Amino acid sequence: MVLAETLYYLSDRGLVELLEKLGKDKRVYLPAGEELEYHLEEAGSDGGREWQFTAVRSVEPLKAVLFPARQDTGGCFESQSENGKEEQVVVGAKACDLASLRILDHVFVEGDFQDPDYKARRDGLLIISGDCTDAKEVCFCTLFGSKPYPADGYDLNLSPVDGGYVVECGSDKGKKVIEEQGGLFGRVQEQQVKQREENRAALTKKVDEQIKAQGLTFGDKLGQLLEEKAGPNVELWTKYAATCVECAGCNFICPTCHCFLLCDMEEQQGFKRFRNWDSCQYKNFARVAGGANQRPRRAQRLHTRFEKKFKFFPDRIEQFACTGCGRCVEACLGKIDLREILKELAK
Amino acid sequence: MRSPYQPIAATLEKVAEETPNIKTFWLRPAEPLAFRTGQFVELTVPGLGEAPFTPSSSPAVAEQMEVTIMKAGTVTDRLHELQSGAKLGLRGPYGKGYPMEDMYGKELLIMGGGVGLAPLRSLLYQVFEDIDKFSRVMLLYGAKTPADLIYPEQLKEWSKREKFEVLVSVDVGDNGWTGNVGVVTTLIPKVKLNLDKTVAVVCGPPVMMKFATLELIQMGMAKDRLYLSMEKNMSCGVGKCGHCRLGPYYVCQDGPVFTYDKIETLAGLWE
Ligand SMILES: Cc1cc2nc3c(=O)[nH]c(=O)nc-3n(C[C@H](O)[C@H](O)[C@H](O)COP(=O)(O)OP(=O)(O)OC[C@H]3O[C@@H](n4cnc5c(N)ncnc54)[C@H](O)[C@@H]3O)c2cc1C
Ligand code: SF4
Ligand code: SF4
Ligand code: FES
Repeated sequence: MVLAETLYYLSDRGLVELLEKLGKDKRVYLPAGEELEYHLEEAGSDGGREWQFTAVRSVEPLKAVLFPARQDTGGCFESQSENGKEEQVVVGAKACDLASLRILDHVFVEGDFQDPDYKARRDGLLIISGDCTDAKEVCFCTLFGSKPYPADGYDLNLSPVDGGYVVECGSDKGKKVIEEQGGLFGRVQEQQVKQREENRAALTKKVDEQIKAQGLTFGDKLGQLLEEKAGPNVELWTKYAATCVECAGCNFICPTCHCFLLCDMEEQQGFKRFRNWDSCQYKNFARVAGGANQRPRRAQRLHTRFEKKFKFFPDRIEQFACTGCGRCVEACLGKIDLREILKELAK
Repeated sequence: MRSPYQPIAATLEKVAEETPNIKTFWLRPAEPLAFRTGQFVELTVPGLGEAPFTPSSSPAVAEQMEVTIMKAGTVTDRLHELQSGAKLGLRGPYGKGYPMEDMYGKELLIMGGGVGLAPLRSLLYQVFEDIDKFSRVMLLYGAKTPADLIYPEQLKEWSKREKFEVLVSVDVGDNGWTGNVGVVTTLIPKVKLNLDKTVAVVCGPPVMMKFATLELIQMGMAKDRLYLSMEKNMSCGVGKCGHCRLGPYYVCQDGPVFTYDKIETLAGLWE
């Protein structure tokens, strides 16, 4: 076996030391919890958060770090935004969260205009991702051809093996960390890489079998199916939207949902403008003056969420805006299961 | 990096009443703000919020801008209370505006309803500049009552211009009204249209646009020569916030002006 030059070994203690060092001048976010319920929080925000290698993605999506729920975009007529300039580190992000970055980068950085706050946070973010070592019942990432371990989009990736991690370096930023903390990173052994590959194959199989058992098997035909079989007024959306309570949980918890509303607040001197998360499931999302509304009915709004994810984004950048993370399934107060809707579409 | 969400300061220099619920505002931005006709701006009332408007003034002037605004809710109600000297904010211009090149050499049919004549006035100023490139310009304009017509003096003036035909109608007349009565589409049969040579531009309330469009299409107007201004909910204006999406488009970036063939099948088109 030829070992890639981008592979290293980092011991358990080495990683803890690395995170301590990075934490000296950067804000570090770590996942922690139990029974596959992990919360992504700032290390130290609760007086010291211990590093824990988590088996699956966190409850909070990665977007919360790059695109906070409520963001001050600057004061009265200031052309310069000072937000998001500090460097941040996210540790333990999984493949499904990395996949969301393609969508978020497209929205906030590509095109005629850039969101300066997102851009600064994105440029300043060091991503130390990790392989999944288990799957939740709601996980279906492999449905869209991804794998439960990161393929790209990370700076460093951690694959747990006996005693520590196989570290893969995926960017210049990652390389810089390895150069600066050279002493911590060791040579990787063939046996360790083999262990990584075995773990990866076993978990991929597990997720594949899980989605097959759930009847989820239709690859990349979804956009087409949505177009052919699911106009906004078909019965399907009415049926599934019946229990929606318009809480917006599905949007807020989704790693790719990016809609927001600019809201102004009066200040003693002038005003401040905030960029707040918004939801296409809210009735007034598309309302215009005079009361006209493209989507006054919940069924139309459920349809629009699917259209955006499975038609709009694939048409623009050839990627579904669903990573298969299953968060919306867990979050929905109305017990609306995205997988059930996909299945019904594919029928 | 300049934030696309932050406006530059603009001073309100003058306000004039057009109708009981429409006023024109003269704005002087802190730096010149050049726009193409049909593009829109976001106008901020500091501390309250902002709303999108299409300037009604000539795109040849960047130092000062006019916007003609109907009272319709939170932001526009407050705007209507303001006096000259007020400090506002402006950002933009956004969107694609009217593709003038595609209209040259054609007969131009412009249809406006209510405050929808405001963006069209900016188009007319552009047409005056390029008048050599048009063989004929028809303006059909309608409002609810004679008191709801905006720019009445200018309408008279424009009707005297060479190559111009201006027809005005009101839904309901009053004692002094001697002109046409009926919705704006009733003016269509009063002009002799050469449909194969005509480009149509329509701007107005959704029902007016819908019926004007259906009527023109039924007469044989080509869908790709019929330009419609889409009014959708907007927040960012720059293709990020998701609010203005209409099927595959962001109206703020891909519009706000679309040819009918691009949008005819989209759900929510007229809402
Ligand atoms: C491209 C374009 C060009 C336009 N050009 C013109 C024009 O030239 N002249 C003209 O009169 N009108 C024009 N309009 C319509 C104009 O933008 C609306 O009348 C205006 O947005 C009404 O704002 P309002 O706050 O007064 O009304 P509201 O009814 O209070 O708000 C209208 C919409 O904006 C949302 N909204 C507004 N403020 C807030 C806030 N603070 N927080 C949350 N949501 C808010 C509301 O939810 C609602 O969906 C144009 C619209 C578009 C899209
Ligand atoms: S739509 Fe649901 S499953 Fe798909 S990425 Fe968003 S939260 Fe995850
Ligand atoms: S999470 Fe469920 S109940 Fe809440 S808005 Fe989404 S679909 Fe509706
Ligand atoms: S107004 Fe925000 S995307 Fe168009």
